[in-house]
Amino acid sequence: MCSAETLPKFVLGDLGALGSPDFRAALDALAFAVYTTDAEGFVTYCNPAAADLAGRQPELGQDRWCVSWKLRRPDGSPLPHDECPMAMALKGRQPIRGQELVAVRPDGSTALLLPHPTPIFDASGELTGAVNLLVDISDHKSAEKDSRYLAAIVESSDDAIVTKDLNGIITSWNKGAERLFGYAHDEVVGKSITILMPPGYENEEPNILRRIRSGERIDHYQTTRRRKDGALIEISLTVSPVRDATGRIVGASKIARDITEQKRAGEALAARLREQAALYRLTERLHRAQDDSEVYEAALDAIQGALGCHRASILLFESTATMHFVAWRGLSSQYRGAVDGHSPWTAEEQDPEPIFLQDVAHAEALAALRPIIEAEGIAALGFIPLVADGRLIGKFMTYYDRPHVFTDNEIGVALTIARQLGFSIQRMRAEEARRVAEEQLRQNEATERARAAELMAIMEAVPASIWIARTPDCRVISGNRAAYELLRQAPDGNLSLSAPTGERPDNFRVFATGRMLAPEELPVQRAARGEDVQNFEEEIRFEDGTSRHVFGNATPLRDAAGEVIGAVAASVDITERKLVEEALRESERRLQIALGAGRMGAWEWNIGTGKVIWSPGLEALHDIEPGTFGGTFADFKRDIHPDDLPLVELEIARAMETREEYHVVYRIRLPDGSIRWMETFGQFSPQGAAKPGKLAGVCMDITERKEAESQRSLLVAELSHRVKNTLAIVSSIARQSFSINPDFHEAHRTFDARIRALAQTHTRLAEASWSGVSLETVLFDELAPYHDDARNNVTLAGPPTKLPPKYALTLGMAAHELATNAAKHGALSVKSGSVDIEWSARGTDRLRVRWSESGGPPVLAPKRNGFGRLLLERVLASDLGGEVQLEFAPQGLVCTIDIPYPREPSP
Amino acid sequence: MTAAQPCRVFVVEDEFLVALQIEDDLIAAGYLVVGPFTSLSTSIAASRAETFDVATLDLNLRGEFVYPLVDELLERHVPVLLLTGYAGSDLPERFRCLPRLTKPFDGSELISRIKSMVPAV
Repeated sequence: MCSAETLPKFVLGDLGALGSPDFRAALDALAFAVYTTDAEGFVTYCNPAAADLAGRQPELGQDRWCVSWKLRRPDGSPLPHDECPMAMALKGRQPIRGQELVAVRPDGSTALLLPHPTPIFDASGELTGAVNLLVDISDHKSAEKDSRYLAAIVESSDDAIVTKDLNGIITSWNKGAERLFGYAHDEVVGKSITILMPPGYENEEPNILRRIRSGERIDHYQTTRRRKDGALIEISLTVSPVRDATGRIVGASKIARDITEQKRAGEALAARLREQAALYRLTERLHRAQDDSEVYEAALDAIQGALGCHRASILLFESTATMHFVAWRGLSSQYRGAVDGHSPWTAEEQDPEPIFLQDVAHAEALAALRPIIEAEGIAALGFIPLVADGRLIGKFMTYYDRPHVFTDNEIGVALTIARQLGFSIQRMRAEEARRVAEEQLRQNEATERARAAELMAIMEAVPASIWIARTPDCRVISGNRAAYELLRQAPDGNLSLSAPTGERPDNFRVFATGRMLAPEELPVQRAARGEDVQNFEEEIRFEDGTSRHVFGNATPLRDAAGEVIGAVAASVDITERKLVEEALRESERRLQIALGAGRMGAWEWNIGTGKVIWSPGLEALHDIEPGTFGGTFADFKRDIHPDDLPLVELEIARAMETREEYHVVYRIRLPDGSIRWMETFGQFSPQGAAKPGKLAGVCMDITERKEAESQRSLLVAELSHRVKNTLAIVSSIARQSFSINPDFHEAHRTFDARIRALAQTHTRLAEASWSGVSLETVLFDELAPYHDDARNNVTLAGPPTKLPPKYALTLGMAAHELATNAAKHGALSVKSGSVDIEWSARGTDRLRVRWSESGGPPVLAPKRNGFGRLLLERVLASDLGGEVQLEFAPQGLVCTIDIPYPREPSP
Repeated sequence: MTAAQPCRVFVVEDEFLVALQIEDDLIAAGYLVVGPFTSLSTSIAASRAETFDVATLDLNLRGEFVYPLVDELLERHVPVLLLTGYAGSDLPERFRCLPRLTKPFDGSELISRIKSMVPAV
């Protein structure tokens, strides 16, 4: 006996799991024979069962390869230890299986063993040894015991059971063999088994015998044998070696079973399987097919595979309603060209049935096509319609080289393929349509995207600010670049004043007509509630005090159902325009002030439309109610003085011709008939344009100026008249002075004095702007040179009396003549003399002046009429229409002047 | 008109000193003076009452223009000489072509003008 304790430690270590004491105990207790060796084949362990089987206790570390005393092959030949299966397994480094051998014990008995030598490798792949399990397959006792039953079984078996020796001579033949092969027991026992071999199968028997000899068993070998009556039968053979008691192979037993029916059924099954596989592949390939050609190829493969024809074709109706080949196998182009377009059905055919011609030679229906078909070598053919959505779309054809009976099964398969193919073609067409639609959609989308990109680019590029709210609550408003720049916000920020605190911009407020707007009053927010906000105008005031004015529109954004889903607003910055407008308004206001102050009005004549606009000021100048001007050129002309109208029209024509400033002075007639002078200036606008659009200008009432001008010319004329009149007077005085007085020097002095007196009165009149001068002043001026120191020699008494210029000049000259006469000859020529002058207004229209002298030398009446007297008597009378009385009284001259006295100074 | 009947000159002049001179000059030249008259109303009345061959008229008679008289005399085809300090342009258009003597004028000037219109005798 061998035990675990006897095993060297290193061996145990090398055995790995076997080294475990539990495992070793298990091995020791095992009923199977087990032993191990090291890598060199030296036995390292042997369990008790193995020692029993070997009939000896092997010497561990000494016995090599094997634990048995001697070995033999199954055929009885000696087997050296170093060629035994264990040795081969170690040398070949792989397990050996199925090699039986005979172990010979020291007592001479044998055991037929089936060894299972298995090499063992460590983790690194090093061979560390081998383990062998020995199965004892010699059980003579049971075989002997069972032989009687076996014989009965063999005799009663339905299977043919035959034994033969190693030379192939039949040694036994049961009843089953008699039934199967038709030979009786006595006919064949002792004869070679080869009598059963049909021609062509002669080589089978030597092969079988060779394999039997080597101990091999042949299971279910299918082959063909010939019965006694010559019929061939399909059999399944199982051949096993037959050994003698020592295990030597001495013959073979054969069990044969008739499998003809079984095989036929199997072939039919295989055909079904093939069909099913072909249909399955078809289904799968059609499902995966990407285009028509893949569909056709899959269908042709299925037709060929499932219908067993190596030629096939598919034809489809085209738009011309004729069928044409779309795919084919094994057809010449001549054939296709000849039959293309032929069809047993029209495109309108309802529920077409497949047509099968099993023998072309006898198919009358083919008519003229038959020679063509026969020339192509086609002997049978099938037309299977392809239907999709209840409509015939084409067919597929099967062609056979020999006349062919179309079985129900084939027809069923053909129709199945046709259904699948029709469906797939339909699917491909739908797919194509879908693909086209998708492509269209993709293109549309691409177009949309391009358009969107374009819109985005436009949006970014436009100088207008654009705001977009994508929800009705406007909590988020985005915008284009211009919008962010306008509101001075970083791009992509939220521009909504409706946003919660912290998210909304706080650097500006929005005002409209001076009032701050709440967020919900803003255009985008209003539009997001469905309102179309047209022409809004807002002022955006920034925290730094500056502001921008914007003008724009806001409109709701709606989804396909018309629901408002947001809003968009666009606006332009009109700040500059606002400023210009403001400046313009200011300048207009100033102009109005200027026009009003200067009695001016403004007008504009649109030459294209003929419309004439007058400012209220101009209407006032024309003395019509504001807003009642008719507004046409004719209305303008109506007021113009008829004498001046040609001039005005001429000036307008000239200005239009030369494109220069229009300037004309003309008269107008007011509703009350009065005449006013107008001066107008105008300019064409736009300036420099080829065709004038408007003539606009101002008009002023220059009547006062005109009157002043005429007054002035009147004054100038008057002045000239007076000066010249005065010169005429002076000339007359000179003549009187010099012609009467022979003493030149005296005459000169007199003349001088007269001129001075005249000048003095002129001076007084000039001081009073020629409005007149008082009588007292005139008299005083003439008498002043003759006053004594106490001014007692002259007295003036009378009411304040204002003399018109003519009266003053004439009375002044008269007073001068009286005074000089008094000084020379009368009261003022002596110290005691005096002159008393009294005047009174008699009634209301006469003036009476009394000059009386006293205390002077005796008065003498003058010898001749001197200038003074002429002046007094004639000039006063004729110039002033007065009466003058000269009384040369002895005490002194008395002169009484009685003249009409006008209440008011004459002009 | 005969030699026994000297030419009669109707004189209207509101400035009597000037009138005196005109009168002197005309008389010295052999004319007979009718007037002088110093106002428009007396002048018109006198012109209708008197006969004369020629008239010398001062334009401005104390603020009144002598035009109505001029028109009347022109209608009667009486030659008229205007005596005035006004320039021709100050006159109404219709009188601008009438003979005119601008004040102050010389006596001989007056006489030669009158002579060109009517001879003294």
